[in-house]
Amino acid sequence: MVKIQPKTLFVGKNLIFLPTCHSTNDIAAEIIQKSEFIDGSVIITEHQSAGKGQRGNKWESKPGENLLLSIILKTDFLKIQNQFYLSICTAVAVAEAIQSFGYKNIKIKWPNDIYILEKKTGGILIENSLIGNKMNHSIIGIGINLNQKVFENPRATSLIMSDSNIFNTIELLAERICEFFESNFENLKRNNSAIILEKYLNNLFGMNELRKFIAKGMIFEGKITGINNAGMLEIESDSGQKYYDIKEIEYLFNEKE
Amino acid sequence: MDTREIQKLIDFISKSDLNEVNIETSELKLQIKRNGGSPVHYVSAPVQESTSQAVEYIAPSKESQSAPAIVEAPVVASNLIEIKAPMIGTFYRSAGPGKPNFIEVGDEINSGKVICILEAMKLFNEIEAEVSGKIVKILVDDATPVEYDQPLFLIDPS
Repeated sequence: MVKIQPKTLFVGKNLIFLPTCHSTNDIAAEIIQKSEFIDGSVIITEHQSAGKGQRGNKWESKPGENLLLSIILKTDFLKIQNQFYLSICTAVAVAEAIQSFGYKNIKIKWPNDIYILEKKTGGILIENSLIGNKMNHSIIGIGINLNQKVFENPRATSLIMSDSNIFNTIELLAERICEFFESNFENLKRNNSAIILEKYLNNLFGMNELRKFIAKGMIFEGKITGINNAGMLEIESDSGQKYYDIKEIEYLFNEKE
Repeated sequence: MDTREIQKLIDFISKSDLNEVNIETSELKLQIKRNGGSPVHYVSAPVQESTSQAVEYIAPSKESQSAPAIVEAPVVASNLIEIKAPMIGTFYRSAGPGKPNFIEVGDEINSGKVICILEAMKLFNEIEAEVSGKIVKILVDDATPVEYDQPLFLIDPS
């Protein structure tokens, strides 16, 4: 049983806990379909039987060891062309929440993965609903590896593996995420997106560091220098400054980690 | 070219063997397509009121800006409605690989029905129809990129 009492106005005030479910994003979608939903409702589970990553990718998580939650939000205030700010807002909130416990080397890997050094510890999956050309509501799915110590994927890690001396639980982490999320989301609502963007860039993995990337099958060295309005990654290299869409660029990772 | 002239042109083309005709002048762009065996014609850009609200859009696409503006011609030979992409992204017909398509040609849909997903920058956008009617044509292939305002579906609202 998971119970949370975040110090928030609306995010996480209505909690739906399920010991096990398909995926919290799917449960969120069902709740929205059934009736008027409560803005800021949070769905938490200890086990997802069909955890979702990006389109067809699975999110693997051992039962009871990690944080799996979804937040349902009304996002009709947001213009479609600004929807990447939802991603920024969520990634910043998750990074800030984790950092607030004292974990080190927490970064946001563009666009919205959470990294410890060169490995992934958290993922975000955002599903919006649009009516015609207007945003309506959004489901923000967040998965964070907390107490899991063994992963099949060599590029995955968890908070406990990075620092086992920090006391943390699913409840504590969920509460912090609700709190930091609400604060960033309020900034987005009040059009203070510059503040969120600044925090995003300050926490961005590889920002202003020379590292290797692959584009069009070619390895090259460059520095991430920012993102544009659409969320495309800005990289500076010998061939100048270029913007990349998600499928156009790959990071090369340090394999000895 | 006035409405009567366009109508005459469509009549002429429908009696011919041509499947598709595109005419572009400085004043207008006209596209007429024969759909399957049925004599369905449409004129580009019969914009519905609901989607005609100007959206200020900061797209990094140069192509769409340099493309010639399509002159909005009145609906002539049919009352078909185009559903257009409200954003740039990748068009998906189902919720995921192996999942059934949201809609097929011939389906009767009601407004509020999810018709496709547009994905941009890892944000997945379920698009709900604003109109009710019968799906006449799906204009874009699954998992392909679409531009802002690109027609995605043709719907017969009658």
